Amino acid sequence: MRLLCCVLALLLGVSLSSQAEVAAGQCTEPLCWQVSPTVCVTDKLEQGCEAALRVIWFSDTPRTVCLYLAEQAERCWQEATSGQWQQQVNWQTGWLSLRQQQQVLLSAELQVLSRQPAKRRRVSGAWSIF
Amino acid sequence: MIKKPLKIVLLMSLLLSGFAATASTPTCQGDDCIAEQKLYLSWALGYGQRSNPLHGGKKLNLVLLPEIYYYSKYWFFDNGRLGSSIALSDDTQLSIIGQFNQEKGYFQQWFSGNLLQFEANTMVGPEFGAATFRQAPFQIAVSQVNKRPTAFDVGLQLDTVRNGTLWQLAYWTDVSKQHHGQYASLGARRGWQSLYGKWQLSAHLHWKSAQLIDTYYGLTALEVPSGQEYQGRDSWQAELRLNWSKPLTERLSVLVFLRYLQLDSAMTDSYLVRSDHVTTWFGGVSYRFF
Repeated sequence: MRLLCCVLALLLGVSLSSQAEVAAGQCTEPLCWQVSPTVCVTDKLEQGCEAALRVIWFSDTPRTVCLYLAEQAERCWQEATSGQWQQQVNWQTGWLSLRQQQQVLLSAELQVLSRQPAKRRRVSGAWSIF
Repeated sequence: MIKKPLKIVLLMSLLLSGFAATASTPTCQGDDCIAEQKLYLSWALGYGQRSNPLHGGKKLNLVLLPEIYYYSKYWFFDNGRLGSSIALSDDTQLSIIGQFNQEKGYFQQWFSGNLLQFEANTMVGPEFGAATFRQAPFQIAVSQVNKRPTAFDVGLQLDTVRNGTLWQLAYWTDVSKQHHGQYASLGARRGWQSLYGKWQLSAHLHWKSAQLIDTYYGLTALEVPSGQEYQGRDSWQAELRLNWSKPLTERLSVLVFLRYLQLDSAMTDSYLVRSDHVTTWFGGVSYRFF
């Protein structure tokens, strides 16, 4: 399970960083962005997860937008065609969004994964068959 | 026509299977708390016995004991029990479980938990508790009666933790149409750790329906002479169990467990039954492979 999480995180990281490189010059949509990473891996979910989060966005027209993390505005840009934001963040599973006057233009889900498998209560007692 | 208890269990199983995918796992602590998608396998090597309350029934020598359980997100296998659970809250879970009925184990050596064990013909182990053997006018031995059926039961079990004690309520019914009966149990289990090792104490009160008791311990006119027949009644049985283990190394532990099951007159009134209790004891070392 731990190996699976690491491989998953690695794959996501590789995938997202390659998207960012391509998208910087090849944004074909009116508005696009790269969020990297979207998954933070921790030993235990209750410990929380701290990692750097990086956002780059591009627009074909100047926009006034704000970046929201868990319903809190982190950064705003005035009449800009691109923006970049990077910060060490204490992650909670939630949504990251780019908004224009409270209208959500883009959004991405941020996830916290645990290296430890889920715990549960055993139904039978020890050596109960005898 | 499906009987009402079976209908209820089947309905609950459908509900459980529907909810299982969305339910979160309950929080837990201690040895009862296990990881999903991990195989837990242990072997214990030592010596012990399980008594047999039947006339002519062989005691079971316990020498090499396996313990195996695996819990996935949706289903589990735990020492011969197969089932699925949903969390109703952080402290409570509901499970649907299938297992072979254990009464057959007194009649047949090679059955379920009896596997890998040996019958005891001459060795006499210690008895704990007040030994009361029936002085019946007649005695019917296991070998004199017809073969008893192997039944598969399905039940619902509710587990809830209050102040560190696990309370369990379970209700089972025969889905194999062998004994056509039901049984239920209410009990509590508590584990703790001291300088002297890990302890687990449990107490349960079992109810077994008249049909179940009659199937295994009833005696018909076809089996016994006139006047020795027995028609089973509802039975109430109390069970106490104590487990103790002390780790020697990371994987090796010393293990002792004791179990006492008190039988009531609904069982002991049968001329098949010679004792009003069943005792199990074992001492040895266990090795875990996880």
